[in-house]
Amino acid sequence: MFGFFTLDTDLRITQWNAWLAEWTGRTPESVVGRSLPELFPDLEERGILTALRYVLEFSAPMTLSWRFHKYLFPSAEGETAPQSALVQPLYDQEDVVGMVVTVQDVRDRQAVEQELRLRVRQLETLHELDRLILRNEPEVVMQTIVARLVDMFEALHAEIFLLEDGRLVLQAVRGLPPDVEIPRAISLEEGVVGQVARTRRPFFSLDVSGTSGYLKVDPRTQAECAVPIISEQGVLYGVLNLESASPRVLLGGGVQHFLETLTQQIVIALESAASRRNERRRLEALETLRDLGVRLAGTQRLQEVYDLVAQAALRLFSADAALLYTLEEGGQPPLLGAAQPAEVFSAPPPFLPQEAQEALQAGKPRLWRGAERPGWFPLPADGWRSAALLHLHIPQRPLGVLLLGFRRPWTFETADAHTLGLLAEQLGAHVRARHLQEVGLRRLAELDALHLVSQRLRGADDADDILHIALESAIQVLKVSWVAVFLYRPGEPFLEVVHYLAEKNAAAQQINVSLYDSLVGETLQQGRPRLVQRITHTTLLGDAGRAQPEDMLFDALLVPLHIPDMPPAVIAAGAPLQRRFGEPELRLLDTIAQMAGTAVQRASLHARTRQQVARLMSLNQVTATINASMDLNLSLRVLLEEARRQLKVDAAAVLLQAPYERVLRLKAGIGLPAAAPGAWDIRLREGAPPRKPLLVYDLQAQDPSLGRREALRRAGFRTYAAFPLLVKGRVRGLLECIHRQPFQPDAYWLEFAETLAKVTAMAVDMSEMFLGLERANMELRTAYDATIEGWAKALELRDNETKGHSDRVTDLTVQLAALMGFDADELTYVRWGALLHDIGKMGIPDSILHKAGPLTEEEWRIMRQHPVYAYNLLRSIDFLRPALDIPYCHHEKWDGSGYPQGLRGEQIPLPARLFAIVDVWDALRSDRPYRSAWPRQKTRQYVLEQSGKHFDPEVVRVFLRAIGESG
Amino acid sequence: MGDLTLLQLDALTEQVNIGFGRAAAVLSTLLGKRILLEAPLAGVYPLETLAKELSLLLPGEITAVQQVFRGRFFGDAYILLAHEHAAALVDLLLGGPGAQRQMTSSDYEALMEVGNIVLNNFLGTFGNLLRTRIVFSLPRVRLETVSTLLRASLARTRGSQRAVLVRTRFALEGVALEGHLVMILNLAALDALRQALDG
Repeated sequence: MFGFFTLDTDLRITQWNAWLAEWTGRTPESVVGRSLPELFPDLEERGILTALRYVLEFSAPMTLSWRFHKYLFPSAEGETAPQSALVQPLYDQEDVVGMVVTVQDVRDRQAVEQELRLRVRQLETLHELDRLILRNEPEVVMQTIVARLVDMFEALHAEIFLLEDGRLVLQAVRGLPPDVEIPRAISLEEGVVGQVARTRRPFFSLDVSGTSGYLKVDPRTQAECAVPIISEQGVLYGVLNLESASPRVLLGGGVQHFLETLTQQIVIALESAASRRNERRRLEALETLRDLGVRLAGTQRLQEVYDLVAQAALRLFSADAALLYTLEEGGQPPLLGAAQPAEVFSAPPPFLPQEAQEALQAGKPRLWRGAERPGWFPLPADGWRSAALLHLHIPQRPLGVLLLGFRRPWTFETADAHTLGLLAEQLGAHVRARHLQEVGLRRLAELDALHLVSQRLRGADDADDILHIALESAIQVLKVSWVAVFLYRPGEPFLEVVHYLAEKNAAAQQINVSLYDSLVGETLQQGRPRLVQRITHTTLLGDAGRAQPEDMLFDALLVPLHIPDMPPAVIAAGAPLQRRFGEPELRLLDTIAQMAGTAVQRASLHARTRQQVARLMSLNQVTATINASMDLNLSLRVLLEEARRQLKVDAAAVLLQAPYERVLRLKAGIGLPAAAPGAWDIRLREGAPPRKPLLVYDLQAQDPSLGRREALRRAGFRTYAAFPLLVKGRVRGLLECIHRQPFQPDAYWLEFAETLAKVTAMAVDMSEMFLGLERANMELRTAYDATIEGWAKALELRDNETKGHSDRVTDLTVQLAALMGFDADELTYVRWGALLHDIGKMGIPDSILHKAGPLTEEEWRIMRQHPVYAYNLLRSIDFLRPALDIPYCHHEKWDGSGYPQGLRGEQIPLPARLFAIVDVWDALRSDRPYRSAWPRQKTRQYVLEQSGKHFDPEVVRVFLRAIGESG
Repeated sequence: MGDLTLLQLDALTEQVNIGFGRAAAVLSTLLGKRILLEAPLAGVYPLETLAKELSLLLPGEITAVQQVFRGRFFGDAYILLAHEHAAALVDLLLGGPGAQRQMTSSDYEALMEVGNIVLNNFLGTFGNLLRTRIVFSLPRVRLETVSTLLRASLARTRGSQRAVLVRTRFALEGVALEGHLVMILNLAALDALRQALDG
């Protein structure tokens, strides 16, 4: 397919081939022989004739490139096509006679070359990118790609969108005129680009206007080619898009293929940048970790370790917030260890939120990116874009949880897992060491605190004081805001605040806390300590807490308090959330409660012992009184006084059953209001009085059924107890113990009251017994008197004694004895002895006794035997033995010259010494057959003379004073 | 340089420059661009030496426009250009950016046209100088190493020992590009040249 023609030296055409004829539409016949410049005048203008002339001039061949000269001849229709030409001189021998011109249509070659050039540009671009990728950020690579694309394909514009947070974000654009604006980000649902990302398939269209979903950004766009940017692993990174005004440039083969190749370059750029970034980050991470290790080595406390680790986490992951929750001693839930940066959070949750714990249960990290914040992310809304919830653990041992917050989109990469592992290792190593150290220190502090509490408690003896000290200690040691004791009232559905102490001296409120719908009540029922977080007063106290603001949250410690013989109670303590109560605090409060319980028990045992001692002494005294006194009224008064003192009653009474009547009459009472006689008596309407103790805790509510409820109530009494007085198995009366205030007796009180009732019964019994004995004695004594007097009269008659001598000496002796201080019993025996003084004469024969005239020596010997006879006679009669002194010894003399024993001085029993004087006195003052009675003065004189001889001088003195006075 | 005296070399250089001046004028007319063509230095060297030295100066493949001539004397003439200079020259001539790039056959065709004119003028000057008529073959573009080219010429010229080397400078649009023009002569031609330069 060549054009071929020849010219002579005048540039006249000599040959013209068929191809030329066809192309130019001029037949050889019409051109041969004619001048080329005349036929095609523009050849001159376009310099082609210059070349032809040159060939003639230099006899040299010449090539004419279409690149310089475009074409030689237009077509018949006036079209042009690229044509190159070769011009060679024609020789005849050595002379140039013309030239041969060969014309070649190079259209095909041009297309091939254009394609080739495009390919070369493509290769060049790829080569260029290869070099760029090694040293530059993906942004530079992407900018270069869109720039080359626009150049290469004469495109309108080219863009690269990358996938970020589920949207396609514009990363690089080239060729966009200023008046056309392309969206910065488009969703996967939008436009051709969105479709390509969604379907992951390339899009190619030479007329895009009809494509559904096409976003018309640039009105000039007609053709569009978009390919997804996907890694070999199938990760979608984004879309490369190219738009053109003419479909022609995209027609050439391989556009799509080239774009796809470019997307691989983009993937490589992105991935190698990411790997460079990772490498850099790993280096930085290692540096940060090394730095952390150095700093951790210098820490003393666990808190410092936590703070440093949280700070390091913040740096390692370039996070905006880092919360470190740690597991201490395996406790759950994890506790807040540190929050960084500190200024970001006013009050992060002290425990890992429930949702986060649940989220972690699968054991996998949780990552969040996007719009809807997950429940496990506990920080207040503050522009967070992504977050991570990560386990921190070393082999076999979970350490806690790291919560990271980011204000930018963030992805967890493989390198991060490695970093996290290293961070956990550091944390693990130091937590263990510091933990042991700190637990030790804390235990020491706890022990110190407990020692202090125990020291203080030792000084207290009273349950109230002890509880107060316990509460005070709780505030000081645990730094709680308030602490209170809630006491259960048996039988009531509530607990009552009995002690309250607050950091800021808040006044205690008299409140009753429900047993059933409050944490306090629950703790009492469950009986074990508990720690509760983030609660309101209503949760803690039930309805009683409604007065407090409902949004006020605090943490509370609750421990049950069990003290023997006391109703169960609960100690509750509260503190603001920042205080962060944990197991150690709960343990400490429980220990304090137990110590207080023990102290109360000890104090109560001590008090009880003292009380028991006092009560025993009191009982002893009462018994002694009863034994010493035969007066029941006195005994009962002492008894009731003791009841008041030891049983702390406001009133007490003893009622005894009147004989033959169905009435318990008030025998003795104290603390009772004045009332008419009989007002306090109990009329037993039917049956016997109670045989068991009767207890009425509240007279307002219960009737003791003894018919006196109204009287007791009117007197303002509240609690009533009655104990039966059992005498020989028979109820003889009641001991009543009455309180004005509600009173809950304990076992010891009841025991003592019952003992007192027994003592009372004993007193009643004894008193009755005594009364009986006394009467019997009296009767016996009267019988004895009569007998003895009869004997005396008989003696008098036999002895021919002056009538009435016996009576007189007896009376006088008794009088004298009374003067000498003899008591009633002694006086009885003195009387009996005086009456029977000569009873021994019963054994003297009448011949001697009634002999007129002086007695012989022998007769006197017999006569002097009568005291011995008296002794022998009376000795065997028990009740008369004490009366023997006078009959046996009334003839003894002070100077020892008397008979029968010859006793002297005080060897002689006193009654005998008295009687001796009285007997002599009466004899001398009486007429005898052989003489008349001595005058008083003479007798007195005689007695005085005989003082110290016959008579006891002291008795003489008393006798004479008595006689003097009497006569 | 024992082949030519300094005076002879001066004369040669002058003659080459005259030819280049004419070539530049033709190029400017044909291509519609103002082109300057200079030959700052010309010399005659043994072919072996030249091959070695040029190989050092232009390592690897180069772009060459070759023209074989015949007549009383015969030989090969080349314009040797480094690839990048060749591409740059084409770009400059065609009004492109002048950047380095891959050449197409059309580009080589364009380069051939330029080389053809330069060589025609040079050889024409040479023929005038030797007062002889030289017949030119059609030019060719070759992409080969210097030593391959020259060795082939040596074989074809059967014992030619000498070559004229002209350093050539193209200047257009404020850019100067270096090339080398080499003409391989047989000894008879060299003698004739020496006489012509003396005369």
